[in-house]
Amino acid sequence: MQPGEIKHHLKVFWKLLEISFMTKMAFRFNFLFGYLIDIGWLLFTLAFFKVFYLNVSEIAGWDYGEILVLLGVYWIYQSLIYGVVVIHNLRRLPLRIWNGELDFYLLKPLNSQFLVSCKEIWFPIFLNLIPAVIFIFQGMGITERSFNLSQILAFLVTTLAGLLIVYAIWFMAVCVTFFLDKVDNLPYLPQALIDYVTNYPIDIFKTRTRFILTWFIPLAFVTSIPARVLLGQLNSIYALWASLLAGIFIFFSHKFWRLGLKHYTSASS
Amino acid sequence: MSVIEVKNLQKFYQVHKKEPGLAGSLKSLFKRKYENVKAVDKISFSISKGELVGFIGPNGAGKTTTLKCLSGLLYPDDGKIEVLGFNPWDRKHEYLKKISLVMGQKNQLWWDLPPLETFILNREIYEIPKDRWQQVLDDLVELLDVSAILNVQVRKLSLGQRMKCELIAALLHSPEVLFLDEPTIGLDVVMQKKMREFIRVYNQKYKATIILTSHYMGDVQELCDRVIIIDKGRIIFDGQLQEITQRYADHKLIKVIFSKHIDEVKLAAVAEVKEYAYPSAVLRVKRGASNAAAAQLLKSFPVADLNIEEPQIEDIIREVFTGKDLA
Repeated sequence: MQPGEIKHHLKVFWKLLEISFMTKMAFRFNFLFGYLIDIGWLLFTLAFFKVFYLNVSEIAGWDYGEILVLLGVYWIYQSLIYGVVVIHNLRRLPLRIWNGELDFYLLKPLNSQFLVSCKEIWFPIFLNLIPAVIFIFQGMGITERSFNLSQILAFLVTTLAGLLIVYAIWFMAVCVTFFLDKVDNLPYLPQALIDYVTNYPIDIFKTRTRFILTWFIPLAFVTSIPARVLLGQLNSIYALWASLLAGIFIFFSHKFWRLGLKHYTSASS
Repeated sequence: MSVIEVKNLQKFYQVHKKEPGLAGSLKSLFKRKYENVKAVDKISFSISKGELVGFIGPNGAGKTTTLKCLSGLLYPDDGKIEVLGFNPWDRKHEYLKKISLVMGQKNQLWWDLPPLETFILNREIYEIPKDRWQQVLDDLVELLDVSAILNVQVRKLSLGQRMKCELIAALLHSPEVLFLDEPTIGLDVVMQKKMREFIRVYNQKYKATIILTSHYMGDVQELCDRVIIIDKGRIIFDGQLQEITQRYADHKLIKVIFSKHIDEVKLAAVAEVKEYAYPSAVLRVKRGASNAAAAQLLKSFPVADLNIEEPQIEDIIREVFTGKDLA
């Protein structure tokens, strides 16, 4: 993409955010209720780990403070990935492919993958970024670690790359719809795997699984590795690996999308 | 100058055949029969700048599939398409900015917001300069008479109002080529009329090339000089609307008004009686025999008025599609 096109897409993204805000504001109760459920989940996970750490002092090498940092990163992932791409977009993509609504996305002079991924943003979930940041600071406090600027920078890059990776994996899984008749549950399939792997430290897995989850289905880059980078337990070079993997995964997700589109039949009208 | 060039376009669909009933469903779980359906089978045509062409044909003839191939939504199985010098399937942004596809049964407006919001979003998407956008919008709003509903939630609009707004959303970027798929479907007669007027004005004012598909012959008759008739994925006619009559209608209609009651049996001896309800009758005669039949009517019956007419295009086309020999 040219710089001019990136600017164009950012402008459209901003407009889409505005529109999502307007539509969600029209349903305030829904908005509030949705948020309460999120907070409920957040407290539930926290309680779950708290009970664990009453009995053990560490899980696979992660102590309570470190787990809090991990949970913080997990909630960053949750609010951004679910809010921007999953809830209103990837989950509905199979239906949009099936009923031909995709037509309108393809007709627009925009990158169609961008548009199907970000059209409707469920931004109330962005509020979860607040507890996420609190978790991280609290966790860092408990472990009595301080962080320097380069660590923060490496952390931000790794986190962003991790988000791109998890998005690409999710997106490719949903794109399988193009090759099947109709599969409503497809968007929930990656969710089960991804949420499971990213909610816990990657070290709870055995060596071989961990290796696969780090380099082949690199979900380790979503929460565990950024957390470790921030904690200063992993070298900043991981920011580079993360970016490289993100590039590869985004590239393949786009190829897969183009391949799927060849199989798109649209729905007759 | 030709704006749209289509050569031997082919598009197949794979359809899975299911036997009826629950047993059939269970069977199809394990073993599926697929069948290739030729939606579009080697069609070729070319359309010049500023033309307004009507696509007609029965349901499932391949009209919509052709439009979707032309707008880059579907990947053709074979053949070549060029629109404005682009291959539609590449969906180059410059190409998409020059075309528009309006589907009467689908909508792109945001349901929970007033139409104006969608228009503003499209301004960003199509990168339309603000003053140009305002100018086109004012123009379209006036033509379609929708200034009162621009700020009303789309979900609260009537079908006709929504369709007008759909059109605006599709036209804000002033497309050079416009594909209209059943733009009047579901609209009442008055609204259909207005929509047709608008399409004509738009075609003239913006010099846009337009392909229109419709079930309503009225749309096509009123708007298009040239029609392309598609049936079972093939083009069976491409030419001026009037030519259809000459080519396919082997008969004419004689409409008579009698001044006194007549013997119906005698009338049937002159020509095939299509309708008879005193005082009027409609007779069907062979093309070459109409003058002789008319003369005989005037001689043998108390005729108050008599007209020889071409059959309705709609009727001809219906006959064409119901499998009459086309040779």
